[in-house]
Amino acid sequence: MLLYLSKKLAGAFGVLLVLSALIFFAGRGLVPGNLATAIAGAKASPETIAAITHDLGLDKPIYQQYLDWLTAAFRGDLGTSPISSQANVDVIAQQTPISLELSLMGLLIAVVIGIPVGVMAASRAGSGTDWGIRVPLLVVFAFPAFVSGSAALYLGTQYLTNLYSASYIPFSEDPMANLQTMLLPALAVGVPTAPLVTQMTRSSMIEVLSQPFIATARTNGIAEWRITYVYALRAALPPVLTLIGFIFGLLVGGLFIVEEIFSLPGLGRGVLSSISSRDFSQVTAQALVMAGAFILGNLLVDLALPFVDRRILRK
Amino acid sequence: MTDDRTPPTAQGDEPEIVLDVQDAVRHYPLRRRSLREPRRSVHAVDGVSVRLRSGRTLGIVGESGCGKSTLGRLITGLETPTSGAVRVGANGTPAAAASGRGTVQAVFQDPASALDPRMMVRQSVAEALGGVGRDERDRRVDEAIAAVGLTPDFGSRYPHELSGGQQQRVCIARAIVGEPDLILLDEAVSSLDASLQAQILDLLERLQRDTGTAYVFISHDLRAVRQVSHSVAVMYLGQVVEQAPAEAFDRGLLHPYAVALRSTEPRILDDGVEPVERVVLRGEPPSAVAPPAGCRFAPRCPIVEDHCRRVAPDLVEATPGHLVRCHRPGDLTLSGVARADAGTPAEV
Amino acid sequence: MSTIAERRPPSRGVRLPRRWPVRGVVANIALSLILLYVVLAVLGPYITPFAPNQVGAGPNLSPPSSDHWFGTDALGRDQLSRVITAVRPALLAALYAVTFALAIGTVIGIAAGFLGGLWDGALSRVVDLLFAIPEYLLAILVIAVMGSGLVNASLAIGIVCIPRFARIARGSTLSIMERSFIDAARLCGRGRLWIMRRHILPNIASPLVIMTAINLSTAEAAYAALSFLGFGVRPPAADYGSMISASQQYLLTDPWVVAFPAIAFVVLVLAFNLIGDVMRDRLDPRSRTSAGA
Repeated sequence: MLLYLSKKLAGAFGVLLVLSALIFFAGRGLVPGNLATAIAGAKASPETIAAITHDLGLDKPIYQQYLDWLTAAFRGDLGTSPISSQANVDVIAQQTPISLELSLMGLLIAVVIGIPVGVMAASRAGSGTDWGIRVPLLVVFAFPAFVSGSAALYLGTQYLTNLYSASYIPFSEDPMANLQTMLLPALAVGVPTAPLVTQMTRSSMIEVLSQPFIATARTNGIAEWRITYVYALRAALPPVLTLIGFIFGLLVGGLFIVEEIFSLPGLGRGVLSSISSRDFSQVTAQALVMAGAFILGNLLVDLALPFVDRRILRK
Repeated sequence: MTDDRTPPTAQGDEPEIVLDVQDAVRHYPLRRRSLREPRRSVHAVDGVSVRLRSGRTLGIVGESGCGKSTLGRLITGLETPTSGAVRVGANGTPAAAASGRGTVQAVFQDPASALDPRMMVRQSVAEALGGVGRDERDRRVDEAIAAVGLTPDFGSRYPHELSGGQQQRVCIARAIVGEPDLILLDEAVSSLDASLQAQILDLLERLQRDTGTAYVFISHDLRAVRQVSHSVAVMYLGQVVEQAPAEAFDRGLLHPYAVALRSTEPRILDDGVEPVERVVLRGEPPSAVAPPAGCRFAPRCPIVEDHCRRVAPDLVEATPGHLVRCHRPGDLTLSGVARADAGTPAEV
Repeated sequence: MSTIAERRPPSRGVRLPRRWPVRGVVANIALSLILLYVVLAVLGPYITPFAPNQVGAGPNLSPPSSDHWFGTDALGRDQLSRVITAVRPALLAALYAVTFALAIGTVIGIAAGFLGGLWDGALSRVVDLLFAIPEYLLAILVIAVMGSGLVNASLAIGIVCIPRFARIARGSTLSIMERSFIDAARLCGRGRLWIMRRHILPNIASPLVIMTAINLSTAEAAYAALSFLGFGVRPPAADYGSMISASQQYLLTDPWVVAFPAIAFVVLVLAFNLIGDVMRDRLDPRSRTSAGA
């Protein structure tokens, strides 16, 4: 267990380290040409440009800049945006809770819908019911977040005015008001993701149901519902759990779009606005936090897996 | 079941040596389970020396896991020995360097897996003829297909359209078409049913007479090995424990493991030979990771003595051409234990 | 193709439900839909009633009528013409992205699986790394560096899809490597390139084809999402994502401006999804062994 744990931790840390380099250099690639000139404007005097260059440490070699940035990041200092002059940590501290809440709610919705439907489809695999479940889900899945999001916004502002309020209020201040804002966006993130969970649950369940131990359970006269929901589902869960790590990725994609549609000041929208204002410092910090959260999510899934499937530790 | 074939060149000048294995060792390192643990390895082949002359067949028998297939892979050059030398061909090229030059070919156990499902028979057979002009290639492929007893129309078929026996004939055609010095037959008839086995073994013998190719015939089936081999090596835990001319296998076996193996060979009801005591070995072969310090067979040997557990025996020549690795050679025979100190073996 | 499909694994004691006959029908509907879109993409410029970018082809935001079947947008551009024109970038994006990912991913996967050792270690690390980045974040970062547009957005999606192809190519290669015809080819003196090209590639083709089908729909949706965020073809050119994004504000008053591009796009993704789903069944448990072998 300890070996498994340390292996996973070391792996996640290594990935984060390499990612940080990728993100750093991607951030630098965002601005074509000289950064200092871009910040100061085309008409700035050479002295101003030289001063900015020195302030940002741009006169140092690029790997030194990266190392400086990395060590600062380890100390929790993600730099200050030379464009908005705000500390990136402060900006991100405002944006992150929104995105986090949105993705967790979305994940919950996807799982709550996806798993039971998948189990139902699997226990009637190949029948009309199976297709009756799968085809509508495929249709839902075909609606990308930006269509379903728009539709949800339309519904919310048109009909469900009691259920939806457009301004964001932090959960700590007023939980009800917060949920009022977040429920529809969360549905817009979660519902299109649910078919994926269903799909995986279904195929994993079908595989488990065809195994001899299920047949043995049947011949022992154990009730069918018990076989399906207790015996089989438990055995079918590990691949579904692994998929949840993958779903985090989709949720991040959903964040960009749903936050944009619902004008939620979250991390996804933050990245987009940093890109459009060419704020390389801020986008680097935001992307790092986002990737870090994603890796952390996957790490948690990895750590949860042995509890569902003890065989994993032996590998 | 008796072997009445005579070696093709029993007298006169000896044919050239096409396989010379000298003290070949192959270890596979194991993954460490903790950092303090010393690096361990599987001793798959541990000091094997054999020689084979052109036109002859060397049989290799043993239980699964005894290292016979690894020895085969060393001979083909698909793997290189950890130490020792494996030389093939008339001019003694190291097997690894000769691999892919057409000096050594192989026929594997499962013919379905040995043929690319997406290649027609002709393409598979022609694979051994790289760098040969189209006309000559076509001619030789036709000859090879005919030589293994298939009609020309098989050339344009796919493996899944063939039966297991036909597939194995195609594999043999591929092995012979490049006229190699040596062919490795790794469990080549084990997956076929009895009547097909006999057919394929006959085919192999006929091809050997025609071409003079040497065979290394690896099998766990002693009967098949004895039928085609001139000399048989018995392997146990990565070592050769006895190597004897095929005729010696009727009565003259010296190593208790070889005797046990021979005694369990299924026989046709009454073949005129006096009944054989069946020696049933108890237990599993010891781990090839940490072989026993003394004789490797000691933990399972019916006639083991204290000396055997302490000192590992060497492979010594008992009679010319008959080698054995045992402290008490010949004390256990097919008729039972000479100096009985083992449990009562059950009768067949 | 047929040999793989025919070799079903033996049943495992429990009687499995028979395959539903509608499967074929579903696939046929999906295929004809895709064919329709391909025809529209090819003929697009010749059959649109108006020039797609012609401002003021009708009154602004007019509802569907006999002149403008799909109505007009806020600039009075004919929606039907724009919906038809947008098929081409949509299909091209999916095609570029998947072709790119298929090519690179297959090469990486076969090389990692076949060469093994250090190569496998290094290549697998790169693939794991790509997998460890949230897909959209990666795509957006790539676009941030390379700039937006149809080709760049497609490449960004392609990069995101590489690991999936690489993994399946590697896994299938490893399972092929266990078969002895690879050793036989080596003994016949065939070099690595020959073995990879003549033995491994043909034998891992079916799982790769299936993966391609599955990824077409993902790539399609991803491109539209990127286009929605403003990273697709540059305005005023017609593109589903940007059309929906631009018309979003009229959703409440004039829903058709969003509805028609949305429907056109959703049907296209749905068709790809159905194909992918039918294909995915081949990779699924009951036939997994045959697809991998």
